[in-house]
Parts: sequence; structure tokens; C-alpha cells
Amino acid sequence: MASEFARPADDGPNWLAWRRGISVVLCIDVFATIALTMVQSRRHTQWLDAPGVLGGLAVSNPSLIALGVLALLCAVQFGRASAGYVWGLGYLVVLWLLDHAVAAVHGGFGTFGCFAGSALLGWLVGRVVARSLGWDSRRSAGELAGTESLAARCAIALFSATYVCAAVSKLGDGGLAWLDPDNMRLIVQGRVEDGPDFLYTLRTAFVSSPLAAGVATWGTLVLELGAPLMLLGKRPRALVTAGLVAMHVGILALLGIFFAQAIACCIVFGVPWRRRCAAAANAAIPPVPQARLRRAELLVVAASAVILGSLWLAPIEPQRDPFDVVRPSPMVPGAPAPSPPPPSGPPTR
Amino acid sequence: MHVILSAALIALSLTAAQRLGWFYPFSPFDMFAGAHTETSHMVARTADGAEHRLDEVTGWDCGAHPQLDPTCPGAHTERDERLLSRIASEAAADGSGQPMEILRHIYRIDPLSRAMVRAECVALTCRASLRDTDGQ
Repeated sequence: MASEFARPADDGPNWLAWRRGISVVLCIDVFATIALTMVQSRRHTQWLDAPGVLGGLAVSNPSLIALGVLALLCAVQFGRASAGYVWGLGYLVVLWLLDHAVAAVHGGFGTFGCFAGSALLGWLVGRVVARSLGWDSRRSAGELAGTESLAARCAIALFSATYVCAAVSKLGDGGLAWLDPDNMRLIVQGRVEDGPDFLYTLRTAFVSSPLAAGVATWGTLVLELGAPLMLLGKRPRALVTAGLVAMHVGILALLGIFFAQAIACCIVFGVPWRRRCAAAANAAIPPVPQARLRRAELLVVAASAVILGSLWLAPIEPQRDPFDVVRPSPMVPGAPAPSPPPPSGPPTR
Repeated sequence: MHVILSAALIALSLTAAQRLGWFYPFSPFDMFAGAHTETSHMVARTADGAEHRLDEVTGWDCGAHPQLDPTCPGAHTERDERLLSRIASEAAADGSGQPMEILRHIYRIDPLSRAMVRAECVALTCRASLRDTDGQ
């Protein structure tokens, strides 16, 4: 077993840069969420009109700023501290509050913070598992390196899982019909007239090409389902993150949706930071006795089984974003059919 | 250990996203997950037939409680809500605007030719002003 941890593989020297990188991304997300909520028009602007206590948090700028300061503090401390879970957990709780508060006043979940949030959660889980292996990050540089390397791996696992979730949703909700290039053409057509003129040309060309739509459809699925290949080492990770960044650039160009946090996380995980932090993180990881490793593995399997079972068996109603539902046409009996386009009245473009 | 741990975390994330939905930091990311048979887009049309983007229009006067025509196909929750919010936040009930139709373009793909086919219907009738021409 010792061989599994004795050498931190190619991830070891990177964990310090990754943790700091995630910390920076988390801070930016807090700024963006607070700033956008304060400047955007809201469906509910009065404390008492907002749905629930959480909605009240987001209609009041002082409470928004207080939450933001707390989240920033947690994110900065997570980036600095080599031990402890409080700051990371604190960030997740505050962002959960903020996410729901913003959703309550806007009517839909507006943040795309799940990428770095998942990475942070993975990092915390990795630290817990490292404790079960007997490592104490405060005891020695080797145990710190072991703890953080394992935590980093868990962070990448959960980060990549967000893409797998997206692919599973596509195949689950849309089925094989999602793979039809015409589906992608319709998705982009809905955004053709939204963007600036130079994107109008690009989007129109894309919509008129089933081949381009087919490549985008299959490329998206392959990249999303292949995201966990990031766990295989630096070269697969660089390849996958480069592909994901390209996918996000494509989404930005064709749909106008800027997954800034996802791109930032891909850069954090994909760039080889080895030379910048090798000295700080290259300590030899101490071996773990075989019996302790087996026990930790059993613990992981048992905990996962309990959580998975609870999630499936508990009577939970999944929280859906109402804005993300594209309703089919209400074909009301007797309603007039949509009229054909008039011969005159050309669009302004 | 690495394989077990990674597999467990991915399984947990998938399950949490499906069972909890949008529950930070989990998310099903199902924004464009459904299979689409049509899509739509709204524009403003003036009396002379010219079409304008909705952000080119302001000073809305669409009555006390404007509602989009439910028989007009292609409803989209987010866009419809955004439009109604815009109408409310940029309202001008002084009747100074010109007649303006909120037109919904509905796109479908012809199954034989695979060409994008556009239909349209009027979702709402208002009075409003164009930003450029009115100097606003």
C-alpha cells in the first residue's frame, strides 16, 4: 500500500497552488455574486415581500455585504490554512445561504459557483479521509503533503463530477434525442438574436450547419463524460482541462453564457504549477500501514453507502430552477396557429 | 484507495445532484438538458413593421397587469419573466410612446429539409419608445 502514497505522483507539488487557486476563485465568486445581486433588478425589493427569511437576506444590501465579508474571510483562510475544516465549511454554508437568498429574490439560481464549491467540498472530504489514514497535517511536512495531496485528488474528483452530472442530465432528460444535431441547432437558434453583430454571424452559420452542431453535441458529451480522466495524471488533466476550456469558450460564443468560474478552475487544475511551489510541497509522504489503509477504504465505502442510501430513500423533492424549464408550446385547442412571417418588416439586422 | 475514493465521490455527486437538485455546491446542470422541438425569441415590432431588440425599447405602457398571450406558442419562463420585469421597471404610463407589438418568433426544424422554419405570433401589445430615435 505504501507505494500508493509514498510518492505523490505528479500531483504532490501542485496541491499548494491548487488550494490557493481555488481560494482566489472562491473570492472572485463572492465578489461577483454580491455585486451582481446589488446592481441587478430584483423581482422582490422589499424585505417583507421577499419569499422567506433567505429572500430577505438578499433584498438588504447590508446583509448581503455581511455575508460576502464572511465568505471572503472563509475563502482567504482556506487558502492560507494548512489544517482545519472550519473555514472551508463556513464558506460552503455562507454560499449556500447566499445562493438561496439570491434565488429567492431573482426567481432562479443565478450563480455558477458549483464548480469551485464542489472542489472545496472535495478538499474537505479528502482531509477527513487523510485523518482516517493517521496523517496529521500539523505534525510533519510529509503528513501535510500526504493530507493535501489526497485532498487535492478529492477536489478534482468532485470538480470533474460536476461535468459528469451535466452529461447525465442531458442523457437523462433528453435521451437519445439530445444527440440529434438539430437539438443543438435549436438551442443556439434561441440565442442567435441576443448577442452582438459579430456573434450573430457566427451563430447563424452554426445553426445552418448540422455538421457543426453534431460536432458540438458529441464533443460536449465526450468532454463532460471524460472529465474524470483528469484524475489520471498531469497529461490527461492538461488535455481534458484544455478541452473543457474550449467547450466553455464555445458556449460563451454560441449561447452567451460565461462559465467564468469553471474556466478559472480548469486553469487552476490544468496548468503545471510544479516549478512554482515544488520546494514548499515536495516533502516525502509517510507510508501508511496496510491494515490502516484497508480500514480507511472500508470507512469510505461504508460512509458512501450510507449517504447514497439516505439520498435515494429519503422523501426529498429535488430543488429545480424554474427559469431553466423550457416549456413546450401550449397547444390550446381552438387556439389560432402562429401566423407565417410577414413579407415586409425585415429585422433590424 | 484513490480509485475507491474518487469513484465514491463521483457517485455521491451524481446522486446528490439528481436527488437534491440545485443545492449548493451540487447541481444537475440541466439548463439545456431537454430535447428541444422548438425554440423562440421575442422582439418588438413598431407600426411600420420594423423589428427591434427588446433592449432598444423603453417607456413601456402595457396596462396595469400585462400578461403574455398564453395561446402564443414558444413560452419561455425566464425570458417571459425578464420581459415583464423590464416592462415594470421601465414603465411610462403617460401614453407618450408609439404602438408596439411584442412579437415572438418560433423556430422549428422542418423534418424533411432540416431547414430552420420561423413562425410568429403577437404575445403582447403595448405603447413604448425606441431608445435611439427618442434620444433616451
